[in-house]
Parts: sequence; C-alpha cells; structure tokens
Amino acid sequence: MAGEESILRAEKIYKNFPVKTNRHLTVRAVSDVSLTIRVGEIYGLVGESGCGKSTLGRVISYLIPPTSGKVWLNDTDLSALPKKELRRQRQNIQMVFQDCLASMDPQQRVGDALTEVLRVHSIGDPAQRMSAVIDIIQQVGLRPEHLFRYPHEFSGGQRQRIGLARALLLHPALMVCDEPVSALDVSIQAQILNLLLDLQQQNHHSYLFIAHDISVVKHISDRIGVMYLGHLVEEAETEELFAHTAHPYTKALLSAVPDISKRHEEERIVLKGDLPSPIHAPSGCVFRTRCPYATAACAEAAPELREIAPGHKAACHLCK
Amino acid sequence: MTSTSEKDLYLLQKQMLQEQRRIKLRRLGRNRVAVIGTLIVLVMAVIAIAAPLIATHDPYAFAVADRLQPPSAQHLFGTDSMGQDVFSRVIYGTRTSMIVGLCVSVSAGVIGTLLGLYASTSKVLDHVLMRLCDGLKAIPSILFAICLMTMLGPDIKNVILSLAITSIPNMARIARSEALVVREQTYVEALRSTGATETRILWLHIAPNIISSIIVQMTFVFASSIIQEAALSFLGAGLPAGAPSWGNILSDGKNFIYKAWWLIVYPGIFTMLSVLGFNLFGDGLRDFFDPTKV
Amino acid sequence: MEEQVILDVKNLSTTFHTERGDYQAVSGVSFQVHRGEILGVVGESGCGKSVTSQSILRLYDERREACYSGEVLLEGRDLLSIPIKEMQRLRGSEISMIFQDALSTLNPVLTIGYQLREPMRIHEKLSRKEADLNAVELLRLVGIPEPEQRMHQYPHELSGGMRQRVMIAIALACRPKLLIADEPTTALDVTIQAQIMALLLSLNRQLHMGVILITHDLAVVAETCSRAVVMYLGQVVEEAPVEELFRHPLHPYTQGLIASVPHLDDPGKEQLHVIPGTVPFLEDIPTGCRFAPRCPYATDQCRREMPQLQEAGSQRVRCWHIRSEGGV
Repeated sequence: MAGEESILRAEKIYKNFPVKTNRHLTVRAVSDVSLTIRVGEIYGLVGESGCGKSTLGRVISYLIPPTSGKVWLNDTDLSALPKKELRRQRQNIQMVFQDCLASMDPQQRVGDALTEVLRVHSIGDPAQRMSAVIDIIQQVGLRPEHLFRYPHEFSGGQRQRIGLARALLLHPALMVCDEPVSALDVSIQAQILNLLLDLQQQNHHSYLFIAHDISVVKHISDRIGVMYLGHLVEEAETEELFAHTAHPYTKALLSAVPDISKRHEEERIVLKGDLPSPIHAPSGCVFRTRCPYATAACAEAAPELREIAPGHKAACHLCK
Repeated sequence: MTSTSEKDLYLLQKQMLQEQRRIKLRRLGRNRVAVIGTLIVLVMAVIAIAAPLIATHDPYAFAVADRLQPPSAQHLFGTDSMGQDVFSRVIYGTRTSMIVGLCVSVSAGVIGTLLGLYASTSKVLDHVLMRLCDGLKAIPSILFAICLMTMLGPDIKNVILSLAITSIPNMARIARSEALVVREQTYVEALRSTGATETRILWLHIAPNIISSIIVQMTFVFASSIIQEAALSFLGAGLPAGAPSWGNILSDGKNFIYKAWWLIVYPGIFTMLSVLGFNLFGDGLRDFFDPTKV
Repeated sequence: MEEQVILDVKNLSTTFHTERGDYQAVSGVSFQVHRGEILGVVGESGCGKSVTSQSILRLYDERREACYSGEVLLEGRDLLSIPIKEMQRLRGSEISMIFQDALSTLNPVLTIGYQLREPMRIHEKLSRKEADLNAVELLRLVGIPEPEQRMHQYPHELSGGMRQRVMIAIALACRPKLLIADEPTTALDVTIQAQIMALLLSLNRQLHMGVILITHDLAVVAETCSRAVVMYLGQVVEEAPVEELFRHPLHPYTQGLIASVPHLDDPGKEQLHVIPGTVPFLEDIPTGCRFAPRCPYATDQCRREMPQLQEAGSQRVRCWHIRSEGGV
C-alpha cells in the first residue's frame, strides 16, 4: 500500500524557544529529529505532553520555521522558499487541529470559512467554490444547511468534521492532524477515526497523525514514531513496533496504557518520577533519569537513532 | 449538487439568517437595562436631530425683561440671566453634545483601531506607537484638552479635535490588546496554514473580531466626551460663550445657584441621563455582540 | 464481600434552572457505595456523571441554580435534608472530592503546606504544629519525595502529577469515609496516570474508605474498580461488577461504548464500531428509552415507554430487551 517514495522529508530538525525570563536559557522543544513520510502512508507520532510532537508538526507544516534543519516537500526545500512561494506550497500541507472551535473564526459562518480557503488560493469562481464546499461537507458527513451556522453551534464531533473538510478542500498531499480526536468522547472519536480512514482510502493522501493516545495511533497508523523530550526515540512499522518493542520508554508507555482486558494487579512498568524540563534536559540519553535499565554509560553519550532491524530504529545504548 | 437544491439552499440560508437575527433581538429585548439605555440614546438622538422643531424659542434670543424667570408654561425650564429660554438652550445643547460625542467617538475609534491593529503586527511599530500613547496619557486628559483649547481657541471643531486626541491612546491600547489576543488564537494559525496572507488575516479576521469591543468602547468614549465637553465649556475653554451647550448653561447658572435652581438642574439632568444612557447602551451592546452567548 | 454500605443514593434527581427553563441533568439515579470499594461511574460528556457527584456534596446553590430530589444517605443520614451548615462541616471531613484540574483547584498564592493544614484546622481544630506534622505525613503517604520541603512550595512549582498527589493528600487530610474522584487523571499523561491510579488503589486498601471514581475512560474503570455504573443522559443504564460488565455488557449503549474503543491488541486499520448519531441535548430528551434513537435494537416499545432498571443476575440494566435476550 505505502510506496517507498517519500512525500515529505525532515532532516535534523532542531527547534528552540527562548525562555522569556532568562535570555541565556532555551527550551529545546525538538532536537535532531529526522523523519520521512511516504506517499499514501499514515505516520503516527506519539508521545506525552511536552515531548515536542506538536512543535514538530508545526515545523513540518512550516507554520513555524525550525531553528536548524530542513524540510523537503516532494523535492522542494521549504526553508529556501520565498514567502509568496511558501504560501502557495501550503496547499500541499494542511493541518487539522485538536480544538476545532478555537481553530475557526468565531465571527465567520462555516460556509464562508470554507470558501475562503479556496478564495485565498484563487481557485474557481464563487459558484464553483460553493459547489466544491458542498461536495466536501457531504464527504465528511455533514449537510449543506450546516454551512450557514457559526462554529459554536456545532458539537465537538461535527466541528472536527468541519476541520477535516477545511483541510481536505485543497486536496493536500499531506495532512498534519494534531491530536484530532483527543478532545472527543469515545463514541464520537470512533466516528472520526473511521472517517479519517475512509477519506484516506478514497483520496490516498499521506497523514502525519499526532496523538498522545497510543491505542488510537496504533489503530490508524502504518508507521509510528515515538518521541520523548524532543527526541525521536523509536520508529518502526506499526506491527514491528508492537511485536518487538525495543526502547524502554516505548515499553513503559505501552505498559501504562490502561486496557479493558487488563486488571491493575498485572505486571506493569510504572515509571518513577516526572518528565524532566526541556530547559535542563539530562546529559547523555534524555530518558536515563526515568529508565529502569539506565547505566553509567547512558549519562555520558547520547544514543543515536540507529537501525536495529530492517525499518526499525531506536535510540538506546542497550538495544542490540 | 444540482442547481435546484442551490435554490433551496438560498432559501434555507435566508431562513437561518432571520432566525439568528430574531434570537439576537429577543436576547437584547430581555436585557432590561440595555433596553433602557437604548431608549435614552434614541431619545437623545431624536432631540438632537429635531432640535429646531422641539425648541420653543430661539436659543440665542435675549429678552432682558424676562430674565431669571422660574419654569412656567411659556418657558418650560425658565429663563437665564439674559432672559434666554433654558428649555430651547438645553435642547440645542443636546445637539451640540451629540455632535461632539459622535465625532469624537468615531474619529477616536477609527484612528485608535488602525493604530492598534498595526501595533499588533510588528514589535518595533508596537513599541513606537505605544510609547507615543503612553506619553499622551501621562498628562491628565482634561488638562491636556484645556491646553489644546487655549492654543486653538474656542470652537466646536477644536473641542472635537482636542477630545479626540485625548481619547485615541486608550482606544489604540484596547484595539492593540484585543488584536494581540485574537492573533494568538488557533484560528489565526489555522488560516496561516491554509495559506492566507498576513494582510488578509489582519483585515478580514482580526479586525472583525475586535470591532465589537471597539464599538462598545466607542459608546463609553461618547459618554465621557459629553462630560468632557460640558466640563470644558463650564471652565470657559470649550464652546464660545453664549453658544448653547450644557456646560455653558451650567457655567452661567452657577452664579445664580440660590436664586435660580432651574439653571443647574435641567442641564444637569440631561448630562447625567445621556451619560448613563450611553453607558448602559454600551453594556448592552457588549452582550449583544458576543456570538457564543445564547 | 457484603461490606457495610457507606453511601446510598436513592432516586437522586437534579434540576437546573436556566434562562431557557428548567432541565433535569440527573434523573432518578440510584447506587450504593460500600466501605473499601471503588465504584466507577462512566459515561460520555453530558451524561450527568459530574452533576451526580456534585449533587452528592450539594455543591450547586439551591436558591438559584438547582434543586435536588431523592435521598443521599451517608451512613443512614440524608444529606439532602440536613441544614447547609451541617453539610459544610461534612464536606472535606466525611466526604471529600478531588477534581480533574489540580492547578485551578489549588490556590496559586498559598503554599502547599497552608492548603494541607487548612482542612485539619477547620474540621479537627488542630494546632498549627500538629497539623504540620500530619501534613508531612500525608505528603509521604501519597508518595511525594522530600515532603518537608514541598510544604513551603507553591502549586505552580510542582508538576501535574505532583499537584494531583497534593490534591489527593488534601482530600485525605481528615480521613474521609468517602472520596469522590472526578476525572482525576484525565489531564495527565499515561505514565503519570498509571502512577496516580496505583496510588489511589493502594490508598483505598490502606484506609479502607469508599471511593467513587468518575471517568469517561472505560479502561481505567476496568483496571481499578470493583463495580461500575454506566450513565447515559442523566440516567443509570447499567450497573454491574466490573468483570461482568466487560465480559457481558447487557445494555446496547455499554456494548457500543466498549466496542468503540481501539485496543492495543486489535489488528488495527479496521473500522471501529460506531454508535450512530450524537448524545441529544437535555432540552429534547427522547420519550421512551433515552438511548432508543441511537440503539440498533430499538423497537416501538422502546420509543414509547421508558424501561426501568431490572435485575439480571448480578447486573442491573435499563433495557426492554433484557428479558428476551435474558440468556446472556
């Protein structure tokens, strides 16, 4: 299904944010992340809050420029493009946000918001735009009369459908979905996940699917990257990742996920302590402060993300 | 989608618009305070427009023989020290106040919004514009207005100009802070991700979202410039002496306060009512504009 | 395991007064909490699970906001009929509550120590010294390292997981008989959630109190609770021991809910089960069974008449089909 051809390549992305109260400190939100998204694939990016997955999503869609590193879309280097050209390229990467209410102009009717996307890129005349919008709104399972309502009049699930419709309008090659279902109830979440899969099968876009819920990511993704404190610590095809989990953090993450068929008494790796601050990241391996297997060597050198099996990469000294 | 359903769609849209408008008006109607404010504002506006029809006398006509008459059928609000009809002068004074209020609030609103919007676009511009505003705000506004008036001379245009200058900094600050809040919203980011230009975002998405607070603020500026105009005239730094204005009538009446209460009471009541009315109206507008409140 | 009943909620209803008129957010909810058990209350947003918990504590203003009916018996005493002064005394001492968002529930300008001492000084009239000693002990109990230093810190200096631990410590300050935890881990990451849930379980065992765990997450219920109540649109639709609930869910809503959660051991990329439609608004509650418009098995009877909660083995279910499918 997913070819080897890549739609997007991110190379050695770093993103630092200055700390407002102290000029000498920086928050290292993303450090040395390289990833490739193939044509027609759903790439799941999973990690806990503060691990930099949303920042990475924004850098990849070039909403914020990386501190260093390059993003290639097809074969264009986004960092080298002039502003105008970059805006044109935006057609190819669209975003779906977690809080869809906040991502819509509250003063604008849904229909206007959707046609505006086309108007921005001067696509079609008003009648064509309208019919494109009506098409898309039905594709995501809403009715044309919904176009005349304001965003706040919709339920959470409906809003997420509108967000999807807006992203789909431009037929992007890549959709970056930032936690698209985490604000929804389970029954609605299932509806949206099914819709995402349906749309992907119809239109064959690629997705970068960012979420903190690993069961959701597993359900939808072809390939998964696990992030911890700004670093990509493991990456593999979904099956492979779950069958041969390599990195201790991924193991702990999987074990912490509550499941209907499990009881709490079962053996579980409960990580001690909290996520360290990205301002003062630990030396060496970033996970060593919470890792049950950490050795002295882990404090000295940062492990590289290297291939431990075909298509399976992990950043850990202990993974052979 | 076929063309027949496009017609249905159009009808549906109309229906929905009407419904939304109905809901909004009903909401406004339920807000009793806002209704009172709106009524006062409307009455004031009618008085200002129809002043020549309502006034019983020429507001400038002297009748020294009839000076300091108490209210009677002939002179509804009595007469002043020069025998001018207070009722007619108060009515014409309403016109003055409304003109001043309208011109000041509109010009301060427009200029303030422009400054605020542009200040929100870049850090450098923000610093320059906001320090200018800080400088203006450092001087108490009424003193500043008096200074300007003494330089420019008593005239309604100059009153408007000096009051507008003193109101712009506040307006610009509010527009800027609102614009900065809106700029941080996810939907601005979402628009950027669809490829919208910064100018488009500024004018089509940020401006409409701050306009409601600006309009609300404009009603408050309206109210305060009524008071300020009265104060300037009262201090002799406003309209030329003799021109019908609430401040002038009050200023004239203060010398006869024990003999002729009507000189103080009627313009006072009008000033108070109109300020109260505009403030209530502003509060009502604020609730009305919030699209998320149902 | 017939343990003593601590809380007996009988036919509790809560009606809110709003501009648009009155609506009933909770209608006729009944359940019991035994000493030493964790009862899960699950449902999607808008099902009335939080309103139920806040009604038990009578947190809504009875003069303006809401009115309650039914009975809430705490060890035989009806909380809904005692004077509000008495209720205030019980809150925090006999029943306490922890909330989802620990940062906004803790006062940002007071130290952790002050906020921990406060309930003890109010309810147990302890001196500052005694309260201090107890507070440190409590922090140790909830697994906070270096408790003496934490006493002087402010809420924003702690991480999300630590704050939630502090909240739990405050709730436990007066050794309550009943602890209500309203989505205690929703705002936390899974690895932290695992820590907090383990803590709640061990505390429940040590202190032998009743716990009501309110959550939208079925998996959390499956792992920690002994019994669970499933709510839909202000009503209890199913109540069962947890093993039974997940092995044989009887109510179509429970079945749908369980099936729509993606599992780690699923093959993946398959269509998830979907409950069609959305939860209706409280203003237009369907007549008959409230789940009927979204239920795949709905019949005319379901749309016409409201089913009652019926016993079915160890479970209680609100569904007309229980007798016909009774053999489950």
